[in-house]
Order: sequence, then structure tokens, then C-alpha cells
Amino acid sequence: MARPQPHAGAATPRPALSRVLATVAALRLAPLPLLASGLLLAAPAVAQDEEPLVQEPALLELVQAAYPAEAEAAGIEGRVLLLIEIDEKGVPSAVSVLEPAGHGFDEAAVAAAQAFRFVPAATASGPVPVAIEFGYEFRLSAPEPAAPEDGTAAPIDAPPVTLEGTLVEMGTRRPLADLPVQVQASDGRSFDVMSDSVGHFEVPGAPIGAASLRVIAPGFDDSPTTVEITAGEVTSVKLWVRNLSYRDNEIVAVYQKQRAPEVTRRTLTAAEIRRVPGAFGDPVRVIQNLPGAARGPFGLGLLVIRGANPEDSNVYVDGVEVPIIYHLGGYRSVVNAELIDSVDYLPGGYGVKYGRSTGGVIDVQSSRTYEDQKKFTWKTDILDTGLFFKGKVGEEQKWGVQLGARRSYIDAFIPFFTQGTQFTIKPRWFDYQAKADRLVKGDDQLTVFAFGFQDKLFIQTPDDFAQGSDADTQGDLSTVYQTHRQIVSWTHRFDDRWSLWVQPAIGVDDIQVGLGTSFTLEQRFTNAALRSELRWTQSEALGVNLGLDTNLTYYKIGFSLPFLPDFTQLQDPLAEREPFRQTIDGWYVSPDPYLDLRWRPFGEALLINPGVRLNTLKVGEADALVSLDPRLGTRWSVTPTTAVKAGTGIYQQPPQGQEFGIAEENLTVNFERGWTHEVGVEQRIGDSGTLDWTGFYKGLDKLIVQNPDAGDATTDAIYVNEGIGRIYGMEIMLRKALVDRWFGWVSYTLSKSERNDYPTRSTQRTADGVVTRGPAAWYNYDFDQTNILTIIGGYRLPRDFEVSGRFQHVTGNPYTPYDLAVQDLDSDSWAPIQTGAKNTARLGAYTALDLRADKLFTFKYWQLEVYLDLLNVIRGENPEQLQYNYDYTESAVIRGLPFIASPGFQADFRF
Amino acid sequence: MTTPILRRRAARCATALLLSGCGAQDLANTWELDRLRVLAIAAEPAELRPGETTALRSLVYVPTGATFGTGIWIGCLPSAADSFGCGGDSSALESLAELDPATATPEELAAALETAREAGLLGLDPFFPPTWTAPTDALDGLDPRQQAEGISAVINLTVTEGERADGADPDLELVYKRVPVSVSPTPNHNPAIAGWLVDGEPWSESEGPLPVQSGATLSIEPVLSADSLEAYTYENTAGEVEDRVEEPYFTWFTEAGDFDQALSLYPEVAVEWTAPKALDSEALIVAVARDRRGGMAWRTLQVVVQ
Repeated sequence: MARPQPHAGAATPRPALSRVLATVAALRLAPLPLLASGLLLAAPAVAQDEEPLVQEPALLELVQAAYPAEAEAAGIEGRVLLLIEIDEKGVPSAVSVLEPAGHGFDEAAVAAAQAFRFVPAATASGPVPVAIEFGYEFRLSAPEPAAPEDGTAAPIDAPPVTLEGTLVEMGTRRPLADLPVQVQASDGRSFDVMSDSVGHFEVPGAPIGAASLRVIAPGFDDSPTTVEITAGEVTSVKLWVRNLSYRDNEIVAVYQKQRAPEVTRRTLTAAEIRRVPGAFGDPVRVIQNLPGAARGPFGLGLLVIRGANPEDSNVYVDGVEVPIIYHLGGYRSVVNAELIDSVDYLPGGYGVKYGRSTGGVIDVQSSRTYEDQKKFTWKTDILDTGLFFKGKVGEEQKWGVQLGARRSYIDAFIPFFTQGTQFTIKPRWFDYQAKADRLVKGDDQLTVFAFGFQDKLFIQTPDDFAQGSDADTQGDLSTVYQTHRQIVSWTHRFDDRWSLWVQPAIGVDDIQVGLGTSFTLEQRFTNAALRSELRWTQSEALGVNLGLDTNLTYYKIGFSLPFLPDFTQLQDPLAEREPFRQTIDGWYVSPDPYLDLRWRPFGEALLINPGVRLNTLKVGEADALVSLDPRLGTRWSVTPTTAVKAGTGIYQQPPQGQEFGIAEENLTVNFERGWTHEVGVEQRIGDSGTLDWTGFYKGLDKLIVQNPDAGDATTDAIYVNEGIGRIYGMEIMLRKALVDRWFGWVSYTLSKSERNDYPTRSTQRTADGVVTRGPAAWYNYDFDQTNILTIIGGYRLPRDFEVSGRFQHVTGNPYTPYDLAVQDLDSDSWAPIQTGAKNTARLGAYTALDLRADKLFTFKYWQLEVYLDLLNVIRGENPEQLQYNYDYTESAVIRGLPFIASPGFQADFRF
Repeated sequence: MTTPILRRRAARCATALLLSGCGAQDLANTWELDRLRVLAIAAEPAELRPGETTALRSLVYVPTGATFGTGIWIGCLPSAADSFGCGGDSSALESLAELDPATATPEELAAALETAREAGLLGLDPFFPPTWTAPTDALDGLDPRQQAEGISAVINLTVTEGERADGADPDLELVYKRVPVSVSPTPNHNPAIAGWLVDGEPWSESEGPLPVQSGATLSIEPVLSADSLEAYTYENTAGEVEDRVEEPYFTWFTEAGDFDQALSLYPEVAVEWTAPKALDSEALIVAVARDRRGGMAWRTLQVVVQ
């Protein structure tokens, strides 16, 4: 059905009316905030080994697929979603169809993709194999204008170029490669040319006079642009082209296959993360919607992972531990979302790279990829406002630089909500990030990264307002905490087998608390950390990492308080007090070596990943504590779509904070210990669905509890390693990747977490001195939530408009019931009498529906995204805590956040 | 190890404080007199030397429609006390509480009382006024500085309502307070509330109930007697003798209306009280003074809303 090709001059005649277009846009890999899902835990020791990509795969050679004849004849168009596995040389090693289109499209797309060539993806250690999802579109071309019938003959010799230009995408300023440009000349002739790899095109023989230019390609606006071609020169034009759906280009998932190609790093794309209602576009907050993550009160973002207490989980930024990951209120992570490349969420069963924790791990990885254009971002919502710059700088653009800063202004709004109360609450925070990556390819990779944050909370009351009966607690409350870190990361590749990673870091953590004039506390922890790994890869079947995770901390703690000279008068409000001030300081060091082995004894189907970590802790001159954590992870790919995984390991956690006690120059407590077992299955469903199931059991012992026999605080151990615990359950995640305009996932966790503080004692004495007979009872952890269900879905509407929603249903937290109290008339206070076992009662379930809508506007030089989060749309009461009246005879629940509409915007400028 | 628990808890506490305004609740305020309450206990003298005896009295609020049942007083030295006051075997006291004085024989009553005294009983309201005698060896084993500072003996009072007409369980109140025992050169005395200032003007109860406009807000200030703010000495841990002056505080109660705060601290002792809307209603206002050294005093003010 070929028609005569209307052409002029030397424009290349097209062989057919059909035009095959590949969605090359899909390879414009914007820095993706990749979010490892909770399922990563199933392949613990392997997943944690994966390095972030410093170079995304880039298409070098696009091969046009043949349009299936029958489909063309029938006027059928189609889109095939492919999974292309790319080896270290940039050659497709396997191509499979994720989303078929039928009508011969699948075979044609696969055949074409097999001939593609790529710039290989690379980590700091060099090129690595990856897999990408690639959308291949088949579109029939629009009817061409008829050839002129005046008999004008095409010239035999190629005429000179009279018009040239460059295709530039509006908003992003990216050159548009391999797109057809149609030029409608003033004499009625039409010229069709293609842009080259940098978006440049030339039109030979275009006649003098007005000409109309337009791009005719799916996904792009075909509105014409008129130019005047003048005699005697080559007319140049920059053609700004509007992408009809910029966000389609984000439908890319990169599955890193570096050392363990069978271990899939599951990711949530930038598009998915941005559209989770209630997450405020923050990748770290999205973790709270994944399996195993329990819900903190008020959505504060407490890291309650698999029922463990928040202090039992650790948080890292680029492998460097930080004390907290959220600003005040838990609505914003302390690292700017623009800087985040991925967030590893490891609820349990992780490898030996991470230690000092019996709970989960969150490691925020900063971005190391840079676009050719520089980008400046301004983001503002109801909480804060921030600026961010990212781009290549320096001679030959050898350095990539990222600079960011944010400052909250929520303290300006809070007084509107606290009118009529005696309190003035002023929370403030700021954070900053400065990062430089050396972009020169070679055997050395270098990164310098500094970041920090400060949070302040000030609660002010009038001078004539009494805050309780204690004269020493009158006045304002001021809390300031801040963290700063400076990190240098260097990787050197000796040869194909050996490489070395060294990452020194220094930092400081400060806390200052003041209450009234008598109570002050200042803590400063000065940290020096060193992480390094010597990596040896013998072959695909064997690799070894020898690592060192060292932390050295000098602490200085000063406090002042109204002092009770006689220890026995601690509970006596009538005792006379004296002002007291003390400063203590000291140091502790924890150099933990680890050895990690990756072994594939039977080809790629089976991976065995044993590892061992030595935990150490030396506090001052006290004898060092030493313990060993052996861990083992396995993964067996039963079929191309099914994998079975299992792991077991010991996880030990050093005493923290006030749990330290030194008697006779030695620590009075040792590491807490957990033994984790996991088994799971991953199943790919259809073209874009996955189902992951994981069952887990964690036994805990040597938990640090108060010593009920402690009498004299100066000589007796205040804490002992007597407690035991158990946490078990299962997690399911059913996910539909962002393909075909919609995405979503269902996350469900069924779990139980409980502990027994004194299982071996025949009598129990509470802190109040009450003695009961028999061994202590098991009780629930404070955040034991039996059922956690989260359903998230989003849909992409035309014209860059999107909607999404989140539904959550979570079992209420446990609490200890009271209904009677004894009044101390001297202090005018009441001591509750526990009328039930600890944490046996439960708050009502939390149920909430959140919605989000956002729209992206594109202008020539910048883009503007505006959005609106609607939180708690169904206005659930959602009990978060139980509040008692003064004498514990009445109680009422403190409800969760009410319905909130939260608008915001983000503007991106590229230059 | 690098993230001590204290740092995380500090962040968590700050966050909780930030959001504490989210849960405005309709729970009873401490100043509301709507149930059986023990508002105060005073010992006279307020501070004892070993071997001395003090008389104990209480201020108990019994709401309209309820009756006072019994008040059981027990005492102990601090070594026998915990955060609920005096511990020990309470079975003897419970048997006494269950005894009906109207039907019990004198022998039964005497036997039960003797048993209860051995268990620490100090008195039984409304039958036997409570007293407590400090043991002569109460301060044995303490150094002179500690003896001057003294110890705090503990007095427990358990009050029950009388039988209820509706058959419901009688209400129960459990309270305790301390009575200092020392050889202090400046032993404590109870404060005294000498009168009232209402909107800055003196008001005497002898004039009858204080008339108040419905919904009006008054400034109410208790006036302490001249000798209530006692000066005393304290020998600190450095061996220096400090001269100190009491800084009392007041707790407030009312049957109707609202206070702007439940406590007022010296010297800002005035509070604002807003009258209820209901006309021709009477309400009781109570101020209880504590001198932070164990001394207590109270005074009531009757108001009528017009």
C-alpha cells in the first residue's frame, strides 16, 4: 500500500507510509530515586552489596523495527513493553516481552531490540549488567500531503542546505534525537528529515520564503512553527517542542544485576514515590507504606520495623550512621529528596555490612548521576521551602555538584492553631547538603559529601502560668538537636578482580535541652567513622568482600539540675534541693570487621551468601566487649519467574545511652542479641505484576532491662541482660509497576512482637516496689500491630495530570490499662495503679484514606508542578494515644490528624 | 552505639510535644469538685521531733447526694513506704473497714481496733481522731546534718463513700502525705490563709456568699497570714548554712465554673475564675496552700451566681 513519497531535493524517500518509532524517551534516565522494597530482605547479603549506579545505560544505536504488514494493513497501532538485559559491554543479552501487544508487534520489537547497542551502565567499580524496561511503540504515520501535480521533477543533484535547526524539548531543554521533522514550504512542497543524535537537522533545497516546521511523532505536540528562509544564507532555527506527557518518560525501572543478576533489586520509580499521598514527595517517608513497617503515632515517622522498638533500628546516609532521619514532626526527612537516589529498606535478614542493631536498617543513598543540563529546583509546601542545584561544573565538566538547603516556616502557622491556649509552640528546622562527584571515568571514583540539619523546638508559657507544682520546672522548654557529617568516598579499581572502597567520615551530634532555669542538658557526640571494603571477584561464581566498619566517638555531657543530696529522698517532694552541675566525658570505639562471601556453586540459579561480622565495643578503659554475628542468605531461581529465598543470622546490638553502667571498671551489660530466620517467595505475575511473600521469626535474648535488685546506684548494676523476646509474622506485597498509565501495590503485614523482661526470676518487683510471685509474663512491644494493610494506586491522566490515593488500615497500638490512682498530697500528683497486665489493652484501629492530585505545567525554560494532598479524607477518628484525667478514673483517646489539605509546588529550571 | 537512645528519645519527646495539641479532650479538670475527693491533710504540729505526737485532720469533699463513709488512717516510716505510700499487710485494716460500728459489739470493735493499731492504724473517721507519734529512734543512724534535714514519715488515708441509694459501688479515694521528723533548728509550721482578695478588694465570708454575675470572670487571690512565709535554715552538702524562705503554692477547686489554671505559685498566687451561666446557683471555691515543707492550710469561699 505504498504511496509515492512526496519529497523534494535530496530528502531521503521513505520506504513506506508506516513509521516505526521507538520510545527512546524511555532511556532518558533521569536520576531515579530508586526505592528498594521490603522484599529486598529476602536476599539480604547480596542486595546490600549492590553499589549505586554512577552511569545509567544509554542507547547508542536504535534499530527500527519492521511494522507488521497485517497490522499496518488493518490500521492497528501498538506498544510493546520489553525487558532488555544489557551486559557489561552494552549488548543486549536477553530480550523478553513484559507487556505484549500481539499482531506481530512483539516479535518485531524483540528482533529490533536485540540489535540495539548501549553505553553500558556502571557503578563506581566499573561497568555492570543491568536490565531495563523499554517501551517500543508502533504508530502509523499521518496521511501525507499529496505530491505536487505540476510535474516538478526532483533535481538530480543534491541542492544546498538552506535551513537547519535543532530540536529542543520545552521545559527540559534536552535535545530531541531521532525525531522526524516536516517542513512545509511556501511553494507547497513538503520536506521530511530526521534529527540526529544531538537533535540537529538540515533541510537541503528548501525554497526561499515562509516555511512551516513541525515534529510529527507520537507523544509530541505537532503545532507548526513558521520561519522565514532568506536568500544567500543558511537559515538556523531552534525548534521548541512540547512533550505531550513528560511523565511517560519516567516509566523506566532499572534492575541492577551487578554481582548477583538473579537478585532483583525491586524499585519504586520516581513517579511512584512522588505520587504516594501523605509522603509529601519524600522517598524516605514512602518506606512507611512497605511491608514490615509499622505505623508510628500521628504518622510521626518513627522507624518501627517488624514490631521492634524505634531505637533498635539504625539509619544511614551513604553508609554513615545518623541519629535520626526525620525532622520535627516526622513529615520531612533530613536529606533533601532531590539528592536521594535510592533508599534501601532492610527490615531484617540483611548482610554483614550492617550491624549494631537487632531491628531494621534504612540506608539513604545519595544520587551520583548527572544530566547534561544544569538544574535548579525550588520547592515549597506548607511545611518548608527549599532550593536545590544539580549540575556538572568545572573544566570539561569533570565534577558533578549538588547543593541544597531548606528551612521550615511551620512555626509561623502554628500560633493560629494554638490560640486560646497558654502555650506558644515554635518548631523550626533547616538542613543543607553539598556534594561533589568526580565524573572522570577511570579506575578511581571520588565523592565529597557534607550534610547536616538542625531542629529547634521552643515552648513558651506566660510567666504567671503555673506548669505543675514543682518550683524548679517553671519556665520555657527549649530543645535543640543538630547533626553534621562530612564524608569522603574513594573507590579504586586495581584490575578486573580487585577493588578497594574507603570512606572516612567525621561528624558531630548535639542535643541541648532546657526546662525553666534549673534543668539543662547539653550533649555533644563527636564521631569519626571509617568504612572500607576490599573486594575480590574471582568469577561470576565466587566473590569475597573483606570490610571494616569503625566508629570512634568522643562524648561530652553536661547537665544541671536541682540536686537531692540524699539518694533515698528521690521520691520526696519535701526534701531540700541544691543546684548541681556536672560534666562528664569519655570515648568509645567500635571497630567491626566483616567477611562476606558470594558463591554460586551450580551456575546462576543458586546463590549462597554466607558472612560473618565481629562486633566490638570498648568504652574508655573498660574491658572490650566482643561478639560474633554469623549470617547466611540463599536465593534459588526455580524458574525465570519464580524465586525462593531464605536466610538466617545473628544480630547483636550494643547497650545504648543510659544503659551504660560501669562497675569495677567494666561494663555491667553486654550486647543484646537477636536470631533471625526468614523464608520467602518472589513470583512475577503477568507483564508488570509481582507478588512477594516473606515469613520471619526473630528470637531475642540478653535484652537489657532494669535490675530489680539494684539498691545502691553507685555500686549496683542498674541494668542487666535478662530480657527475652520474640517477633514473628509474614509480609506480602502485590505490586503493579507503573506501566500503562497506572501503578499500585497492596502491602500487608501480619505479625506479633512480644517480650518478657524477667523470665528466670521467681518473684517480680516493679519500679514501684510491688512484688508479685512467679515468673514474669510476656507482654506486647509498644508498637505491636497485628495487621498492617496499605493499598496505594495512582493513575496518569492526559496532559500531565495525575491522581493517586492511599488507604491504610492498621491495628491499634497496645497500652497498659489503669483505672485507679493514689494521690501524693505533697506533690499534688497521682500514681496510677496498673489494673491489667502491661500492654494488654489496645487502641482502636487506624483507618485513613489519603488522596493526591498534581499537574505539571511546562514552559519553554522551566516546569512547574503543583499538587494538593488531601489527608484523612474519610475523617477517621483514629485513636493514637490514650489520655487519662488527673486521677486515672477517666480516659479518652487522642485522635489522629484531622482532615488536612496540603498544597505545594515545585519549579524546575534547566540551563 | 553511635546513636544513643537518649538522642532518639529527645527527638521523639520533642515531636510528641509538638503534636500534643492534636488531642483536645473532654476530661475532668483537677479543679472540678464532682466526686468524692480528699483535698488536703494537715498535721498539727507540721514537723515533729522524735517522740512527739501530731494530730491529723483532712479536708474531704463529698458531693451532693453522697455521704461520707469511713476514713482509715495508717502511718509508717519511709523505710516501709513505696510510691503508693505505706505498704504492709492491710488485711487487718480491711476487716476493720468492713466492721459495722452500729451492730458490732464493743468487744468486737475493741479487738478489731487493737489489731488494726498493730498494723499501723492511726485513726478511724468519724469515730477515732487520728494522731501519730514519731518513734523516738526515728532518726537513729543519721549524721547530725541528716538529722537536721530529717525524714518524711508517711500518712495514708483511705476514704470511702457511704452506701449509695442506687446500689452502685461506693467511691474510694487513696491519698498519702508526709510528716517531717527532724531536729531542725527551724521546724516547719503550717501556713494559714487569712482572707481573700476578689478583683483586688478584700472580701470576708462573714458578708455571706459572694455575689457574682453569670459568666463573669473574677480575680481571686488568697491572702496568707503574716507568719506563713517562714524563714528557715538549711545546711547544704558543703556544710554551709543557708537561709531560705518558703515559696508556697495553691491548688484550686470549685463546684462550678472554670479556673484559668489549677495551680498558682507564689508570688503570682491570684487565679481567674469564670462563673457558670446558670443563675441563682451556688458554688464552693476552695484554695489549698502548701509550703513545700509539709505544711498545709485551706480556706473556702461560697459564691452565688446572679
